Parts: sequence; structure tokens; C-alpha cells
Amino acid sequence: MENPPAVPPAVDWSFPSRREHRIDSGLTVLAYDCPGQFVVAASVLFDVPLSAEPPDREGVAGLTGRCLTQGAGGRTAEEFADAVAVCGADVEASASPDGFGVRLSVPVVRLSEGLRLMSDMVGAPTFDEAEFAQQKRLRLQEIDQAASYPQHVAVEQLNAALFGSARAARPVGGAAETVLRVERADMAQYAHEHFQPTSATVVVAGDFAGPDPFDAVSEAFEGWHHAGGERREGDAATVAPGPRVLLVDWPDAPQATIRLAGRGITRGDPRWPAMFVANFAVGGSFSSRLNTVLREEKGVTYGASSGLDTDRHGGLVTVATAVRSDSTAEAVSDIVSILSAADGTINADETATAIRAATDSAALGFERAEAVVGRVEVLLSERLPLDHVDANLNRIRQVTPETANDAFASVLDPGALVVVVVGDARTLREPLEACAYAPVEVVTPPRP
Amino acid sequence: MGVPADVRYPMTSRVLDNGLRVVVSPTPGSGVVAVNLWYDVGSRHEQPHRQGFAHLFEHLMFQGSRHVKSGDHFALLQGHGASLNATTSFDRTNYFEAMPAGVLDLALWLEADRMAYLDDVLTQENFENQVDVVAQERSQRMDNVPYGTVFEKALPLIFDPEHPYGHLPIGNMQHLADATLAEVSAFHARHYMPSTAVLSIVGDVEESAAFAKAEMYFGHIDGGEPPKRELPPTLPPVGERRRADFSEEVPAPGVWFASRLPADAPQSRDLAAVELANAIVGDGETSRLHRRLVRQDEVALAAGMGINPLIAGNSLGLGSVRVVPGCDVDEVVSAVEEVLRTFATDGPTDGELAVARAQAERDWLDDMGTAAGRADAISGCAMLYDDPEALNQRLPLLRSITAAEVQEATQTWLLPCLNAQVRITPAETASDAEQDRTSTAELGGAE
Repeated sequence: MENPPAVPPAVDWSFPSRREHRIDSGLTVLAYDCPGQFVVAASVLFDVPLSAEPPDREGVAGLTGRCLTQGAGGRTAEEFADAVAVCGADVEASASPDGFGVRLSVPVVRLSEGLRLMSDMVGAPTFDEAEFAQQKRLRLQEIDQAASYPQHVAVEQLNAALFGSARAARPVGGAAETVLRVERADMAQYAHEHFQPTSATVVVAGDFAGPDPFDAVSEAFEGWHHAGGERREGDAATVAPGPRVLLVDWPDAPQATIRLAGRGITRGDPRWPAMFVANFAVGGSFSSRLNTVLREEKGVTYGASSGLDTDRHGGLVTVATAVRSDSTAEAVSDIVSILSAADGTINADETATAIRAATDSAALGFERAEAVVGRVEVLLSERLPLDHVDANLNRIRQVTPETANDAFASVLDPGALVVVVVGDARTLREPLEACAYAPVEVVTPPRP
Repeated sequence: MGVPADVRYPMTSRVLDNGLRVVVSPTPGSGVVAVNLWYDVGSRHEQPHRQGFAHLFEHLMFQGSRHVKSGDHFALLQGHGASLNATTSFDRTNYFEAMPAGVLDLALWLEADRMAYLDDVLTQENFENQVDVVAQERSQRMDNVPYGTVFEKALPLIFDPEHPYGHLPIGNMQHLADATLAEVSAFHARHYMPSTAVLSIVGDVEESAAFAKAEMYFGHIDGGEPPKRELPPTLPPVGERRRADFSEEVPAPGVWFASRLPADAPQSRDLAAVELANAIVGDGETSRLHRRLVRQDEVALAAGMGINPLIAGNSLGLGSVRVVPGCDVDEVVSAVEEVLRTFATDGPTDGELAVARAQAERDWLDDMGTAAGRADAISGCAMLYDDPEALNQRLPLLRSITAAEVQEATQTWLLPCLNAQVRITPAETASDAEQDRTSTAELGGAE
């Protein structure tokens, strides 16, 4: 057969329907039925911004997350780990810029046991002094180790350059300087202030043909009543515009790790759907302009992509790649040229493809219970309406080449990017200077 | 209780006249369908001077075929909302896409075209481009990552260079640079044909329609003569101490324990027992290694054991301990030995066995939670065991393994992992590191 078979229009899809319930304690429960998902995903999401950490104790939220899994409900760390593991569950807790999440993954037949363990984590953590000391030590060692990974260092340098003195400039889990100061009492205080039913939402998704998720959640969380401190609002971090070029010296690196970013928008911004389409064409897919040039034409990288990062107050447009060292400067110039050339040139084909890709991939993207819960967490964190997924897809269907071009031009300033290159400064400095995007600032990172 | 125990995925298999094995597993109404092709070719089929060729070839499968322009495979499918990729391992190469149900015909047409007519359109330029891309893939995944090449360093300790698993699928970049376009055609002719492949179609499609589509798109392709599958005998565990030491730019010392394990085979109780033993010793926070080294002794940042199930004589095991800087590596290794010896002597507790089974059960349910996951597992069972239904036997098999079998597996297979060690310690200076890299090469050459 010489020509590809025609593809019929995709069947309509909508985000799994939501059932909502409120428990007497003030806890909100959202349940999503996902047939065939025999591993349930559940989250307790607290509405607390990362910036609620005391500035001299940054990292307390991350340490609290680590310690929640180290004993709860009157159990020691090992007893708790055994209890979680024997019901085939996995638990995790961590902070993000706009919220704090406690997460559970458990086979649906053991949903009740899993939820009770999760309820113990948020309502009755053991917070043993020795376990705290061990988790603090492990976090400090993790910081040390991470400094040897170029991709990690690139992102840290990028955030520091973009966000100045705001919380977002520093690692979510805290930097060594402030983690060192955190004591067990700080963690207990943090949990007491922020873990309360009235600021929490439980999100569960899975195949609920058998158990009633509301019964299971109500039963597990019925004893959890708590009146803590008042709710805090996060601050909007301002993005410091470039152009800047930071060259992080990594002697003898076989490859240069590159990250670029400029100011973006929130998911709630009216330009979001059009910006999504524009980004898909420029760098958001395998066949995008960035990947086509850098990988398929020039062969200097395994992959190059752009993305749209968001939080409640703003966003970033980012580009990520790693290239052959001797092609670094050329790659940076190519990326800037591709971003600049995108202004006004996103065509009808690219627009149609991006719209179809976004709308037709939704069923696939939300096949797993975990993906459904993950997206609801994003919506809650960023204070978007819970029908945002469907509404956004409908708005994406309306995007035209004109609106995509307008959005891209108004959001991204290709002349004001922060560029971070982790590579060998000896050989890269001169060619990067020759790009003339911005004066090259050489950074020598501390390495363990 | 009991739902996971009862979860079964119905499927039907047929063989087309040209030898293509087709397995269909419908899940009506999901809106999603997955296509997964396993070809019976991996790095173990490569010629000694072309290490990495199977993986390079996988890249070339995206560079167009008789009726498909270079780059269109990705563009057409992704443009219709599909997720797609391919991977190459020691035993096999697989190509897969998951997509809205209506895109099934397009996916099958694209897969059939490159199975039948890959080399009509391949140019020297595309070929050289992908040699460059693979070199950058290696850099990004291995050479520019601390400890990134440790697997490559461990293999020579347990397999001779000419053994099917003597080298990694990513291979040797010089071998690839030396390869020619003619070799690509020869490789396609030898390894890519209906009779070396399994096609799984899983998801929102009727069984009869799926088989009809498989016949329509693949039925016309010449069956070809598949290479005979030759599997070497199972090698016993390494019996004497072998160690390779390296000094590199890493943030902490590390020790790796490599082992030959029982081969992956249909209903293999040996491998299942090793898997459970491995999980009890080295998987997660309840594992013996984590509790002893990370929690109790506080000498490790992380400790774990992993298995790569393979069919050519042996599977591969690799344990690892990232040592807290400043701690004595010899003492850490002694602690690992003590943990393994105690476990081999005492066997698992009832609680440990229950945990290992429960965790394996969740992992399996999780893997089966997407059409893509099921399609991959079905192709694997059909290709490796000639029995796609083996997928549904996984949990019953794990549940039937006894404590005595786990203990015996530990004594026979896990304990000897102490014999093959790779150690990497942080280099003091750059020049020290270079010196040590030289001695590394000598060690590799002596193997």
C-alpha cells in the first residue's frame, strides 16, 4: 500500500468525571473512577506554599516529607515501612512550590489499609528524633551528591539566575546552609501549622467497581481533627530577564549540558492554549523545529526540546539539550535563532498538528490513575477550575496560526533569555563570547 | 480481597502464513490502542567488530522506508496523539506506539512498511547523522554521568568478550563509525522479517478486526528465513574473586556486585526464587541491605540489587552500594557479605516473603495498567517463551515459590555476587583520574 491509511476523527474524550464529598472535619474528597486501574493513586494535598517555610530554615518542608514515611500511627520507622510494604503499597510525601502532597499507591483490594496508613502519616506522624537526624543527614548527603550531576547543576544555576532572592531561586528541598539549621522541633511546628483538614484535599482515582472510595476515605480519616495556624499565601516570584550567559565550568566534560529559560505564563492565562500550540511546534515534540535541526539535521544531540513550566503565579519557557562539546556555541545560536524565527512563522500545518496531538493524546495521557491524580494536584495547586482539562482542550481546538503566533510573540522575548551551559570553560568560553548573545559569566561550582 | 489474584488479561494468538505471530488482547471502550513489535534481535546477535549495531539499526528504522519519508514515522503518529518509541536490549529490539483507537491502521501500515522495505530510501547522510546521534546518546546517558559506565565495567567480570552478553547494547562508538550502509541492508535482510517478529495489538479494537488488519498490512510481506535461535549453556556463578577498581570524578565511593543468574525461561521457578530473594535483600526501605547499611551502620547513601532477566544461558544481576564518603569500603563490603551469608543461612521470614510477593504484585498490576504495558509484556512472553499467556501466570508463579526455594536461590545464585566486584572511588585530581583510566584499559584487555 503506497499511501498511509486515512485516520478517522478521534472519538470525543473527557477527563474522568469527578465525585466530590466533604467530611465533617472540613476535609474535601475528590474521587475519579478509572475502570481497569487496579492500582489506586491517592493524594492528600495541603494548600501551603513553599515560601511558608521560615527563611532561615528552608528545607523544613522537604525534611517533613521525608520523616512522614519514617514512622506513624504509633509505629517505628521499620514497623511503618513493613506495614506499607506488606499491603503492596508505596507512600511518599514532598513539597512543591504551591503545595505539600502525601501520596499513596496501593492495589484497590487493599485501599482501606492503604488509606489508614496515609491518614496516620498526616495525623499521627512519629517524628522520632533519631529518624529526623538520619533524614537530615541523608538530605545533606544528597545535596553533596547532586553537585556532581551536570543536569542538576544546570537547573540550579538557572533558577538562581532567574529568581534572585525569591524562594524559587533555591532548591525545593533546601540548600545545605539552611537544612543544617533545621531541628526536629521546626519540623513538628511546620506539620502542626500546615497539616489541617480544612486546608487539605484528598484525591483518589482507580477502579472503584468494588469499594466505595468515600467510605474508605471517611473511615480512614474520621479521627483527624485539627485546628492549626492560619493559611498562608505564596508570593509571586519575579523572573529576572536576561540576556545572560552563564558558563558553569566542568573541566573535560564530554558533552555540554544546556538549559535556557525566559518568562512564561500561568496555565490560567488566556494565551495558554495558543502558547501550548506554539510550543509544540517549536520544541514540544519529536518533530519540532528544535529537535529537527539539532538532532535530525546536525546530529549534535540525542534530543532538544522546549517546555512550559508553571506554578500558581507564573511560568517559564524552557529549552533543554545536551550537545557535543565542540558544537556548543553553534547550538546556543541555533536555539536562539529558532526561537526568534518562530515569531510570526508558525504555520497552518504546525497548528493543526499540535491541536490534533493535544486533543487526541488526552485519553492516552490520562490512562493511569496516577496521571489523573497528578493533574488534579496541579489544578488544585495552581487554583484552576477542576474542569480545566476539558475546557482547555476545547480552547486548544480554537487556536489559529494567528493566535499561536501572537501568543508566542507576546510571551517570549528571545533576546531576554538566561542561558546556562555546563561544560569545559577552557574551550567553550571563547566560542560562546563569539555568539554575542550576552557577555559570558564563568561560574566555578563547588564540587564534592 | 482477591481481585488482583483474579486479574487476567484475555488474549488470542495466530500465526500468519508468512510466520508473523500476532497476539490480540481487546479492552473494549478504553479509546486507546497499543501496537508493540518485538524482533528477535538484540546486541547478543551482533558481530564482534560491530558492537552497538542493533541499537544503531533501531534508530535507522525511524529514517524512512519505501513509502515513508524520513522523520514521518514520528511526525504522523505524534501528530495524531500517539506516544511512540523503540528500545534495544541484549535479547531483542522492540518498537511500540500507543494511540487513539482510530490511529491503529496508520500505525500498522508504518510498521509494515519498515519491516518490508526499510533500505529502499536510507541515505549515507541519514546513516552518518544517526551514528552521531547515538554517540551523543551514549555521552548523555553514560559518559557525562557519574558512575554512568559501571555496567560496562561489570560485564567483563562475569562474561567473556565473545559471550552474547559480553558487551552492552549501546556498544562501541568506533565500531559504529566504521560501519557501512551496506551492512544496514544486510542486517535488515537477516533479522527483520515476519518470522522473527511478534506483533501485539492491545486495547480498544475487536479481536476479528485486529487480526484482519494484521493480515491486511503484514500478510503480503515475504516470510523470510529466520536465523536459528542458538542459546549458550547456563554458566555457573563466578567461583573466584574478580575485582576491577577505578578512580573517577565521582562524588562518593561505590561498589557493584555482578552476577550470573538463572536464564529467563517459561515458568522458571529458579529465576522467580532469585527475584524474590533479590527483593528481600535489596529492594526498598524494608530490604536487608538498606536496613543494615543505610539505617543501622549509616555507611551507605543507598544500597540495592537489580536483575535483568535474559534468555541466553544466564540473566544478569547487579547490586550496588553507594558508600558514605570517608567510610572504609572494605568494611562496607564485609557488611554486605554478612547480610548475604545470614540470609543464605536463615532464609526469609514469613513477613519478608509476604512483602516481596505483595510488592511484586503491585508492580505487575501497575505495569499492566496501560495498553502499552500489556502489549509489551505480551510481546515479550510470546517472543521469549513462545507463550503469550505466560503473562497471566506471573502472579500465581510468584505466590507458589516457597521460603526454602528462596533460601536455596540465595545460596546458589545470590551469594556468589560477592565474587565479581567493581569499585569506583573519587579521583583526587584530574591527572590521577587519567592515570587510572589507563590501567582500566589494560584490565579490560586482559579479560
